[in-house]
Amino acid sequence: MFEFLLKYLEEPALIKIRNVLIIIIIGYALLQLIALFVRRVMWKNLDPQTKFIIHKAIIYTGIAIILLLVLRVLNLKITALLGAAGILGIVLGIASQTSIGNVISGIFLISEKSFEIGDLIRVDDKMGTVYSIDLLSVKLKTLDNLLIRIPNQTMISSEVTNITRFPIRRMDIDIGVAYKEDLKKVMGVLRKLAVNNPYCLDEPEPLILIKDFGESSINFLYGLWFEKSNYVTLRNSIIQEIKTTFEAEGIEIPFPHLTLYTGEATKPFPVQMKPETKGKQ
Amino acid sequence: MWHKYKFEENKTYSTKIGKTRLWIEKQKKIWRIASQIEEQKEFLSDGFQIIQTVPENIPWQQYVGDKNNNLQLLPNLPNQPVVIKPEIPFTIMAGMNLDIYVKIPLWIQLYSSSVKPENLLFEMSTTELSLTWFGDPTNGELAYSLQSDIIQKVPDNGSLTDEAICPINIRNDSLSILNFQRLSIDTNELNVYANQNLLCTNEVKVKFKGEEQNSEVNILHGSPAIAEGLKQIGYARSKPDKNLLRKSFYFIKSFTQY
Repeated sequence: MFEFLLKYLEEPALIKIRNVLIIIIIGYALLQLIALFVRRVMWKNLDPQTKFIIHKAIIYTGIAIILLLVLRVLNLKITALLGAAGILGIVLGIASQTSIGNVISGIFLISEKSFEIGDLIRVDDKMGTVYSIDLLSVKLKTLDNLLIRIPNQTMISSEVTNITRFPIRRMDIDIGVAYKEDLKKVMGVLRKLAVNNPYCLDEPEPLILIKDFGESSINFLYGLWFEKSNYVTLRNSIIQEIKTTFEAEGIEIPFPHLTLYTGEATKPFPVQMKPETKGKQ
Repeated sequence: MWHKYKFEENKTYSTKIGKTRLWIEKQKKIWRIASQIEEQKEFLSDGFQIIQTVPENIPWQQYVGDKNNNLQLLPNLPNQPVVIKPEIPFTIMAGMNLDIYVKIPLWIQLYSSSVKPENLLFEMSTTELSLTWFGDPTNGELAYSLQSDIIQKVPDNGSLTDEAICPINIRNDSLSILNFQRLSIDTNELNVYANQNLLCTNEVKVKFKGEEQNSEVNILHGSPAIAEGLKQIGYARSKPDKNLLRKSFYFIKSFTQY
């Protein structure tokens, strides 16, 4: 039986299959070794985006070489294969238009470098950290740990806001104060709060702008510069401090309200009490 | 006070340097260290003393070390560049130079045995330092804003124990006047030297080469020539690059912020 098996394994077709398997196994092992070597030697000084691209390039190139070797062992000529594809090729080409568009869009996205892996971006109404930039799509990890897949063609034609591109940002807070308040005093209080908050940068200087006369309040724009990793800490601390300090200083943050008057602001609104009448039943 | 201290187990020690109060306890292999910044400055020249009453709710941190009961208390400088903002901006004519002295708040470092980076147990500023940004909002560096004055000679009574005096020589090597509003110094590359009444750093020489070019910064090796008997007691966090080119001056350009 063993001899029968040996003879069976020597059949030309089986020899080819055996060689293909050897190529695939050795090729795969070699590919992993190369990837490991590159990781050990070159990884230290590279950013996540570059590491991702190099890793993908090694894998795809390795797979392509293994595939070519396999086709060679099987004595299949690529040109013949492509020629034989014929109509199938045309059909596949039409069917994969979107995919090809995504691949090309992906190349443009990478070369443009408007965002990288690890950046926090907003695409339309979706916000998340760039998890990966693949051939066909960009994957975002949302702040509540969901994975969103956005096709590259969508990315290239959408407005993308890179929230963490620059090392510092300005946090804009809208604050309304009652009309009766002393605006200079309010500005002084806001300036002092910015100076005393440890997460607010001294420079660029905070922006305190009187925006407009609102319906219920005079509105300020309070813009504080911060190092991008301190967003939550600054926001929570400064809003608490604004509330506490305004209460201590007697500065009113009014609720939205409407004042009704019958023509004279100084006279009370006339109210007439009517005797209670029993309605007809 | 900047030396090695021996701590008995299960006893609480305290000291205050500048505005920072420190508490330390040793329990077998565990070091417990707490710190707090207080309103008033104080300088306890005796260093760590045993205290009987320990305040409640102080933020303890625990460090696992060896059975060694010694800690070395050393001064250092801030772990980020400092931005000096003179109250009255300086103007230096082309070809002229200016010697100034800047007071830099110290950081406290505690080493568990020899003074090596891997033995650094704890470090903290002796005062609250305010964060600022030096440079363009798209490309600059995070730094501490110094509110201390720029002085033009070393004080006769030396320095307080929570600050080091940094001698800086600024030379205007350009063809235009230098009117600077901000100066950034990378304190990671400075050592701390001391004699009986003065704490100071290496001397820094800055050559201004024009607004559009980086300045040449030279950190001179060894103790500065501003006093005698200076010995090194604090060690730079990183080795200085010779003739480092960096943007040391920032020229505020007015722009519409809204």
